[in-house]
Amino acid sequence: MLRLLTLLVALVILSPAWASAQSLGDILAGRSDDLAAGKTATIKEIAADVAATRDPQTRDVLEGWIDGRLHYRRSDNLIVFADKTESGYDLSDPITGDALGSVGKKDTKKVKNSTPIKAILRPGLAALDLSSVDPEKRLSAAEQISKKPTVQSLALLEQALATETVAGVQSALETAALIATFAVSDAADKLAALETMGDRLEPSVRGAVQRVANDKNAAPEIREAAQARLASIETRVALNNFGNNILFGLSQASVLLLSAIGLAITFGVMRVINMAHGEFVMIGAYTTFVVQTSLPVSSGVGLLISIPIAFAVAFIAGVILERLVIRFLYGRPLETLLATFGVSLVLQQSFRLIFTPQNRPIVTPDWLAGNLSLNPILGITTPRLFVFGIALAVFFGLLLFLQRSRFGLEMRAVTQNRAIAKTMGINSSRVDYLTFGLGSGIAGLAGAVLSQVLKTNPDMGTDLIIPSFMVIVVGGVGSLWGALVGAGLVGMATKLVEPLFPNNTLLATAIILVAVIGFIQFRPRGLFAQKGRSAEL
Amino acid sequence: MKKFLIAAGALVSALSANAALAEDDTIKVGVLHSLSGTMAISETTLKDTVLMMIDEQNKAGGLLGKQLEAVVVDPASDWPLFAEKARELIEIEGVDVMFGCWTSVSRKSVLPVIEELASVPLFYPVQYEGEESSKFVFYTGAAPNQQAIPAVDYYLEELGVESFALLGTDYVYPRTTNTILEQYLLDAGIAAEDIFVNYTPFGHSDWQTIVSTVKDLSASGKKVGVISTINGDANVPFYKELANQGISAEDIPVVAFSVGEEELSGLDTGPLVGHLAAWNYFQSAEADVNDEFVETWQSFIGNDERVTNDPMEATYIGFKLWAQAVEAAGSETYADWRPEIYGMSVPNLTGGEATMLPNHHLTKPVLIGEIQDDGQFDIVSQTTEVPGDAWTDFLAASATRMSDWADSEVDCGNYDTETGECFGQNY
Repeated sequence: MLRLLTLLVALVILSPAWASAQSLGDILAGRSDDLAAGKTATIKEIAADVAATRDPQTRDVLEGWIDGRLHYRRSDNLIVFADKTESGYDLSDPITGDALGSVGKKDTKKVKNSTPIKAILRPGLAALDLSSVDPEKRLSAAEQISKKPTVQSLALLEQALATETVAGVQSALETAALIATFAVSDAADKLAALETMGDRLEPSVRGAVQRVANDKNAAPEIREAAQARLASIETRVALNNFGNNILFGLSQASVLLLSAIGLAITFGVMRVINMAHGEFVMIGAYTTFVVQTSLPVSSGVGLLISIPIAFAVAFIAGVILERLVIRFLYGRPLETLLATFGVSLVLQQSFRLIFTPQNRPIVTPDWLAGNLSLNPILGITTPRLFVFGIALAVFFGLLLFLQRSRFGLEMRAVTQNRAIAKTMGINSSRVDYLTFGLGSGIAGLAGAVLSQVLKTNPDMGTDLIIPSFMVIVVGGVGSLWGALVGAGLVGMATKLVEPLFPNNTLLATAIILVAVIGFIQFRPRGLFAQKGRSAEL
Repeated sequence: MKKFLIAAGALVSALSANAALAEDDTIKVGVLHSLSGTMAISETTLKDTVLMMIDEQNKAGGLLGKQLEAVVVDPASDWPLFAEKARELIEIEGVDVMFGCWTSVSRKSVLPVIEELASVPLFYPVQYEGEESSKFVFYTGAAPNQQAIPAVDYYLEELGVESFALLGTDYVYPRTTNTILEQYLLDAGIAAEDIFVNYTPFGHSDWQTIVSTVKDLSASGKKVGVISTINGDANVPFYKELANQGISAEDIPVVAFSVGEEELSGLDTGPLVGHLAAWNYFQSAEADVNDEFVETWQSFIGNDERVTNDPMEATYIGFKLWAQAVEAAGSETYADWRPEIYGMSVPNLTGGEATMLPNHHLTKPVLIGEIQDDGQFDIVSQTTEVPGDAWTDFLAASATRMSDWADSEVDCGNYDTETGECFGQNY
C-alpha cells in the first residue's frame, strides 16, 4: 500500500514533465478527427508531432503509418492498426496492442500517407532506426537521413559511426555524414570534406557537392574547391556512363539475339519467311502468364518451369503450322509470306479475345528483381542479366545441337540439298516439320524469358518481327553465328547512338534503320554470307 | 447487264427502305473505337461502356419513346480508317450521334469528315492536348488545364520538384502538352537546363538509357520529378525498368497522364507504389454515384474484378449529357439539341457537377492519385471543378484565342479576342 502511494506521488510529481511534450497516445486520440478528415496540411503537422515523440510505440506507429497499416475506424474515427484478412481487417490498438476485433473492408480507411507526409515520417523513423539491432534498418536509416540532413541528424550520424561495426552500414553512414556536412556544417568542415572525400560517384554526393558549388552565399574558395572536385569526378562519371552504354548495348543485343534466334532457323536455315515468328514469342510469354496464374507454385518456380513448357507449346504450334500451311508452300516465298502474315493476325486476334487486349502482368520473382551494380553508376538490372545468360546458353546449346546431333546433321543435309539427302534415306518431310517446330519452340522459350523485360500483350509479336529480321539480314541468312554478330552489332549500335540524341530516341532508331539499309547495299548477304552452291538456293 | 441494274436498283431501294424503317423506330448510336490493333488495349473498354450505357437507357424506356441501337465499327487502330469508318457511320448507317476515338491523331483524322458532313457530332472521351474546338466534337476528357497543369503544380508545391524530366511518346498529344508544360515551368522560374525532354517511338521497349539518364539528373543537386506522357503499351517495359533500377517514388516520382486503373491491371504494381497519375476520375473516389457506376459496370461485363477508369467516366458523362439534351429538345437531330446542351449538367462520379461549356469542354475536378499495390489509386489531392480551356493561356499564340459556340456573335472555335476574328479552319 505504501509502495502504491509512493508511486502515485511520484506520478503526480512527474506528470507535468510529460504534459509539456505530448505523448503518442494523446496525439492519436486527440487528433483522430483531423487524421480522418484527410487534409494534407493538417496531417503533415500531426505527422511532425508524432515523429517528435519518443514513446515505446513511436517506432511501430511511424512504420505502420508509412506502410499504410495505420487506419481510422469510420464509425468513430478511432485510430487503429489494421491488418488485412480475407474479408476485411483485423484491428488492434496501436498503443496497447489490444485486439479490437475484425471489420469489413469498407469499415476502416487508411490514414493518409502520401509521399509529402511520408517525407515527414521517414526522418523520425530513421532517427530511431539508426540504433536498431538490424543492420539493414541502420543502412536504410542512414540513406534516409542523407536526403534531408539537419545539424541534429549529423550529430546522430557521427554518434552512430563511432559504434558501427558492419562495413556496409559504416560506408552508408560515412556517405550520409558527408552529404550532411555539405548541407549543414561550417566552411572549414566543408573545405576539409571536399579535400578528403575522394572522387565519389553517387548521384546524391555529387548533388550535395553541386549544391555547395551553386551556393551564392558560400565563400569563393569553397565554391572553387567544390567546382574543382566536380571537375575531377566528371571524367570518371563520363567513363562509367560509357561503360553503362556498353552494358546496355550488350543487354539489348541479348534481347535481340533471343528474339531472333528462332527465326535464324525457320528463315535462316529453311528459308521460310515466317511473319508469324513474333506470335510464337507471344505464345511463350502468355504460357508464362498462364503458368504463373494457374499453377500453385511461387512466381520464381513458375518462371523456371514455364521455360520448358513454353518451348513445348510453341514447338507443337510450329509443327501444326508447318503441317497445315507451310509445307504446301515451299519454294514460294511470296505466298509463304502472305500465309504466315495471315496466321499472325489470326493468332493476335485470338489472344486478344481470350486474354483481353490488356497487357498481362508477369511477376518478377524476388530473386530476380533489382539490379547488380558495380558502382553507383555502372550496373545492370538482374532480369536483364538473366536474359543475357539464357540468350548465350540457347545460342551455344543450339550450335552444339546442330553440329553434333544426328538430327542436326540431317537438318543441314536437307537444307543443303534436299534431293541427295532423300536418296541417303533421310525422311525430308519429317526433318522439315521438326526443324520448323524447333525454330518455333525456341521463339516460345524466348517469349517466356523476355516477358521479364518486355510487355506481354497481343501486339508484342508485331514489335519484335522487324528487329528480328534486321538481325538475321545483317548477320547473314543461314548462319547462327551471323545471328549472334548481327544482334551484337544492332544492339550495340542502338545503345551507342541513343545517348547522342538524348531528347529524341525516335531519331536514334531511325538512324540505325538507315545504317542497316546502307549496310545491306554493300553486303547484301550479310556479314556471314554463305558460300558455295547452297547459297544459290 | 440489265438484270444486274435491276437487281442493284432493288437492293438500293430495299436498303433505303430499311434505313427509313430504322429511323422511325430507333435512335442509332455510332461507336467508333478500335477493337483490334495497338489501341484495342484501351478502346475496347470504351466500346463496352457505350454499350452498357445504351443498355441502361433502353431498360429505362429508351429515349423519346424510341429504343437506342448501337452501330459498332472497328477502325483497327488505323488512323485513316477512322475517317472512312466515320463516313460509313454517318452516310451509310445514318447514326444520330457518335462516341469514339482515343488518340488525338485519330480524332484529327475524323474531323474533316464530320465538318464536311456537318450533321452528326462526336463525343470524344479522352484527355487531350487542347488547341482545338470543333462545332461537331464534344471534348468530355480533360484539356491541359484540367490535368497537366494541376499535376505540375502538385510537383512544384507539394513535392518540391526542381528538375523536370518530360518523357513522352512521339506524337501530337505529348508534343503539344510538353510544349505547354515547358513554357509553364519556365514561367514558374524553373531554369531551361533543369527541363529534360525526351520522345520515344510508340511501343518503345528498351528504356535502359532513358531511365539511367533520369537517375543521373539528381546529380544536379536538385529534386527530380518525371512527367510522363508515354502512351500505350510502352509503359509496361518503362515501369519494369524503373522498378528494376530501383527508382522509388519518394526519390524520383513519376506522374503519368495516360496510365489509369485499366493500364495498371496489366502491370505488377508492387514496385510502383507511390508513383502518381493525374486524372479527373479514379475508381477509388468515394461517392454513391461512383459505387453504383462501378457495380453496374462489373455486372454488365460479368466480372467483379474489372476496373473503371477516367475515359469511361468521360464516356458516361458525355452519354448522359447527350441523352438529357435530346430529351430536352424532343429531337435526336443535332441542330435541334445543340443549343440545349450548353450549360447542361450531370453529376461527376467523383462529386460535383460536369457542366457543358459553350467551348464544348466540361467542368471537372482534378484528382491526383498515388499507385497502391492493389492496382488502385490513393487520391492525394482533389480540386473543385475546373472549367476546360480549349486554348491554353500558357502559349503566346493561343492565349488570346477562345471558343464559344453558344454566342451567336462569336459562333466559332477559334475566336481571337484581339483581332475579333475567327481564323482559318472551322475548328
